[in-house]
Amino acid sequence: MNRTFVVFWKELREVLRDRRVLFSTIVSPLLLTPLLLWGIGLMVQQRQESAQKVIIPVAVVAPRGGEEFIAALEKAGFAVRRLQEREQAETQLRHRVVKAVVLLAADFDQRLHNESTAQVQVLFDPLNDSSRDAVQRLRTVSEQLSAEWVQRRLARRFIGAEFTQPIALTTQAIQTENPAGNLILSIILPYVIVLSAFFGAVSPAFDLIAGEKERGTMETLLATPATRRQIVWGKFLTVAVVCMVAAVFAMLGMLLAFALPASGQIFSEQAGKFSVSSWAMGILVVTLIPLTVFYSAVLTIISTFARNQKEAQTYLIPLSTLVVLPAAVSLVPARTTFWNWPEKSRVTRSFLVKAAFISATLAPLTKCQVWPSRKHSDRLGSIRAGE
Amino acid sequence: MVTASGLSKIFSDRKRGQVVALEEVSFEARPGEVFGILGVNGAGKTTLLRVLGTILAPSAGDATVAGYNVRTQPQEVRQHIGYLTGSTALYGRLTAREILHYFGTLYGLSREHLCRRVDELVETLRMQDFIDGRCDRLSTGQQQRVSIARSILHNPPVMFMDEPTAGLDVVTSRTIMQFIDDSRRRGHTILFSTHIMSEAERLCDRIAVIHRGRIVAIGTLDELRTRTGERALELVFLSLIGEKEDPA
Repeated sequence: MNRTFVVFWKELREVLRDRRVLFSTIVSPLLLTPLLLWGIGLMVQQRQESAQKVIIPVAVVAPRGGEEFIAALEKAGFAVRRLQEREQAETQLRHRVVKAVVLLAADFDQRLHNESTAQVQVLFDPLNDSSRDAVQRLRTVSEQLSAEWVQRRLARRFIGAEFTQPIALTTQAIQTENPAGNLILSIILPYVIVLSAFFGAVSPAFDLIAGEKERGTMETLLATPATRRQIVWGKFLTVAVVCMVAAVFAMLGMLLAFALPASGQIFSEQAGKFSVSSWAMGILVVTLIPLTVFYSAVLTIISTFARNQKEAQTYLIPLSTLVVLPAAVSLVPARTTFWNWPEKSRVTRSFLVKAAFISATLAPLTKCQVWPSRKHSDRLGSIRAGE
Repeated sequence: MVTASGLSKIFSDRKRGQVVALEEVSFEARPGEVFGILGVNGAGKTTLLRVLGTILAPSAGDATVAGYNVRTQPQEVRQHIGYLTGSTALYGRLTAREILHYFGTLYGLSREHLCRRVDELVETLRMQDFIDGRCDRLSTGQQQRVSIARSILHNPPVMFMDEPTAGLDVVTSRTIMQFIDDSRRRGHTILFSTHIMSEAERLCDRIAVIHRGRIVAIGTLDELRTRTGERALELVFLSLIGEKEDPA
């Protein structure tokens, strides 16, 4: 067997026995990510549901009348406190006894019946979430009651309800090959894949070369008939495989997370309604190859250059910025089609665009990644050129 | 079997500039001989063995190992040497047997030959109890026995041993000494670097005293004693490197 593959198989076997790598590349994306997103989604869902059920205390200052409005408030789940003075109501709002104060004008009923506009003023605390929620619900109640009064006023003049709506526009969502969930997926997925691919490969890359130098095993490896190039290739291939596996499992983990209704709701009301064809998945995996090759090569160079894993970690910090920033570009929805790629899936197209962007940005580095220069060979322990 | 002629090695250091680790080193080690390289820490022992083992390239001079030139035939040189150091570590997540198979394959041994050879070494070095155990769970002594097995898997005619007993207990050190004795009996050439006088006295047929990258003397122990007029190797060594014994 070629010595490159001897090194590769040995490194792969060692990596597969490394719990840190298994956890970060397989367990975490496949199990923890979906569970975490599902848990958060569930919490958001429960909060939304409980917010609708909760009874909100409000103070109502109505010098005269306003009974119909007050009844509508009570029906909509408000606990109404009738107060005589505005100052008293404001004090209760400041002490958060009530979430909002509703001030009905003295001529509220009169203006309502005289086909004029009845005034309702709402006082609220902008720094209090519940107070802002109360305003939102008060607005809904007011709009509903207002709509009822429009109908009544029109009926009194024998005019139909259509009078106020000369044109009616209705919408209907149809099922397509690319449901709305895909749009969200196309934004999130490339970001997660790019980061997972890079950070998934960090631990094995640093362990395989800088770690070997640190532990003293590199010296014995260099004293074998394997050439420096065979050693570098064997290790590089291992890192690339781990990088690829990390990216694929991150992708599967995210798809799994989106398939769970609760977690999907974090990103979209169209939770669970997405589809990625096997064709698109295949293209996605193929697109990952240049990305993983690039990342693995950069990490292999850093690991070769560094004397130990700690030194390699310090080089990683500025490099992480170079990876995170271009990856963040994927969070901006792709509105421009760079080429006429068949619209099989927004996910694929979006990912292709972003992967191309990242590769193009950092492409000049790729040359030295696979073919370590003489200087890098020196770092590996040899200064023999052309070996 | 091992010849060095005017071998020099200069490192470039950003702070210290040019550092001469080896300067004009010349010697010859013969088959069936334990050739000791005696020197203090930092004298250049490890650099010399690394240059001869083709891990580092020489800056000047030349050397041959088992008839192969270290500059022009590095792969052949590595095929014919066994390399063992005191700081040698093993791959913790592999078993001892997996490590031996890995290195055996790198040395180009066929599968049948390798299996036979591993079985032989397991028997010789008494590794039956831990050959299939993960290396990170082995004791230091057991790990060093695996390292010895790794270094002689391909039955190399030349052995480079860089302070192989450093940090080992008496029992494990004794195993290494016996291994060196056995290798000498089988006609191997052994380059043995150490700073422990008793080991050099007991094992070495000839000794090269190295100091600040230069070989200051080569000879049998008796020759060195005659040359310095001292009896104990420690005093012989101090005299050769120009350090006077403290009269107190």
